[in-house]
Amino acid sequence: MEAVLPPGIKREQFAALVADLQKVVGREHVFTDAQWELPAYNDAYLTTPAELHQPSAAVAPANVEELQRVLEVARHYKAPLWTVSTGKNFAYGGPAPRKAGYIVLDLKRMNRILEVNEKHGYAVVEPGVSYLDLYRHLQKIGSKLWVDCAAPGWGGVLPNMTEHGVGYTPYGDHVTMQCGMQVVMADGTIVNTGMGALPGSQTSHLYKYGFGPSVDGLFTQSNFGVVTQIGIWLMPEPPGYRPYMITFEKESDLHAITEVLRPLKVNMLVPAVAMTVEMLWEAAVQVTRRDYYTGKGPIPDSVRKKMRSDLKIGAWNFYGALYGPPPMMDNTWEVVRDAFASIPGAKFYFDEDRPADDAAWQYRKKLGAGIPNMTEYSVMNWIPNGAHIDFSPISPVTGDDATKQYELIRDRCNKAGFDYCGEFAVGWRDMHHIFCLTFDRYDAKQKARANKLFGELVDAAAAAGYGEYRTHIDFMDRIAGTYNWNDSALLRMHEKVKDAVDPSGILSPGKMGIWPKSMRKGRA
Amino acid sequence: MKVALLLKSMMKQRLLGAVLIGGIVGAGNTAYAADAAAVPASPAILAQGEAVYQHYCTICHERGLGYPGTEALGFLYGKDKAALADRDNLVPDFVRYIVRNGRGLMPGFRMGELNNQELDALAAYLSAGPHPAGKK
Ligand SMILES: Cc1cc2nc3c(=O)[nH]c(=O)nc-3n(C[C@H](O)[C@H](O)[C@H](O)COP(=O)(O)OP(=O)(O)OC[C@H]3O[C@@H](n4cnc5c(N)ncnc54)[C@H](O)[C@@H]3O)c2cc1C
Repeated sequence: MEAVLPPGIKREQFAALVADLQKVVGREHVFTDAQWELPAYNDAYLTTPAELHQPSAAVAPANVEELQRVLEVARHYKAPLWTVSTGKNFAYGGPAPRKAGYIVLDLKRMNRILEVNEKHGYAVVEPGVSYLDLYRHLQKIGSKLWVDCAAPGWGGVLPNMTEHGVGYTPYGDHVTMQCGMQVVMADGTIVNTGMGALPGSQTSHLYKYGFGPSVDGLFTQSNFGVVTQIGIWLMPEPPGYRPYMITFEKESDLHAITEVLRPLKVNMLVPAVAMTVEMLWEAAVQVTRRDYYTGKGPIPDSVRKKMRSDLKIGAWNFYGALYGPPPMMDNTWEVVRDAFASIPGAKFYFDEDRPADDAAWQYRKKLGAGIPNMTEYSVMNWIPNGAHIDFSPISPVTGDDATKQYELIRDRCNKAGFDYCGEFAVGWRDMHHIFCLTFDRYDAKQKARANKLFGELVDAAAAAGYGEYRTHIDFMDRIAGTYNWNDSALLRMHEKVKDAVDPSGILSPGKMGIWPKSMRKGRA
Repeated sequence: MKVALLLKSMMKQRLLGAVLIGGIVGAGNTAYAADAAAVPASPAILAQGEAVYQHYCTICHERGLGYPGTEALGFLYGKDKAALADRDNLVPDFVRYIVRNGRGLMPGFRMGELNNQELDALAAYLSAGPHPAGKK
């Protein structure tokens, strides 16, 4: 890969900029070698040419003071930074910047776990703390608190939250569980939000809203500041944990499953994020496509049937869990079981009923108890050199919506020659439909087809009234463009805020379609 | 003799990497022109390498079920050589290249999370394999 420069910065200026960054963080924490140091700062799962996201450099400050000075250098040169923390945002862009030439601001070295509060059930972490780091730490200190992790255990507690990410215990909605935040603004000012603004506050991580406007949300999925600490509520280990799986025979059962689920979720009888997983996702984490089918195009129904019977899975597979003292779990189970038993062909499984070598069950069981693992990455082993981007629209929790969403994506996906691989995650009153669009990372034609399909899905979903909850760097403008009610009033407001808090436009330009004034013409 | 064999196996693997990764392998890393494989690693380096391996690699490359890296390498090399700790043919340059550039579903590891010194230790540790389960 050729070396590139930050937009608008000449070679000599760049050399001076790099020298200034080196003065701040040390030579060994500024990376500019395009051959050796920077490839890992690009996205391994791009559907577009890597040159479009090639950074000019990366810089890794060790603490807030260094970060403030890095921001000062960036302001001086008007150099765009792209903030990442653990940097594992794969399926949505990994650590790669929105545009070529940005300098990746890598906060992985800021990885302290500042507090674990056993009594009140929370931790305070810096950006570089991964789920695995926090989990290992809690194990080491003998804590009885659980982590709630996203499926990839190497992701970060803080950045996954800022991305509105989800996990699989009752604490799975990470934004809801965040309490207290420290942000460094583009001008270097450190702000404690919420109760943390009171010197000596006793409740920074106990009460979310503080006094006056609650601003934490302004710093999630945003480029208005650099988040350097958050408080995250941790679930106390419950007296009992009993994960279960319910399989359903027919593709059309998705409608009934979703209808049965809604009241159970709204009434909190299914406390964790409830997953209805299509069979291919289940299969892909444990077998490969070529084990079953070597033809072109989507795998035929007859093959899907064979896989279902081999793997003892349904057309749809529901995952939930019971938490609490055994009598409570027993009672709840009766209600849940009776509700789903109304769907003909439903089969119920607990841990002892699943095959010991069922990798899909094993990792879901871990996730329901917040045990970090990486098994889900195996979905990409479905095809050789598999990579994927996620299309993730939100819908109401109704059978009609689930079916409409499923068909909208499945049909376009099949037409484009890809296998549908997806799942529905119900948080509370919303449903995330996650479509894992898997393609061969080294096949340029397939990547172009995947990219085209993704764009079509964005438009089709928006036309049906569904918007995405987050997206890959390549689609940020396109999706921001669909949130255009009242002459794009929301986007225009975001831009006003951006110009006010980051007048030099140095922080993650283009994140979620929000560009600083100087780059707005560059809106792709 | 041993060095010659290692280099040969490295060349073979590089070639494989080149095919898989799309031909950019040769560009490589000039800083590592001299392969550390020729010099036996000290116990301290190997211990550090093992710690890095445990910290970063095992979550995908451990022996057994549910490890995506192990599964992927099983398809390439067979189940008995699927776990990294069971490999007897890894050489430092190859390990370093793959860690920085990724391969297949594995993305590369950034300088900000794993520095060159840690990577060297990891490369030395993996190249000293196999590391049978339960043994240091
Ligand atoms: C197979 C697979 C399964 C997945 N499953 C899940 C899942 O179950 N749940 C889920 O939520 N996601 C999932 N993902 C998506 C993604 O991998 C995770 O969300 C992951 O946690 C994001 O990476 P990260 O935590 O390392 O964040 P980073 O890459 O560090 O950051 C992500 C983004 O957040 C912003 N950001 C980062 N740090 C800061 C900061 N300090 N201040 C301000 N903004 C910041 C930046 O815009 C950055 O691009 C999955 C991906 C794959 C490939």
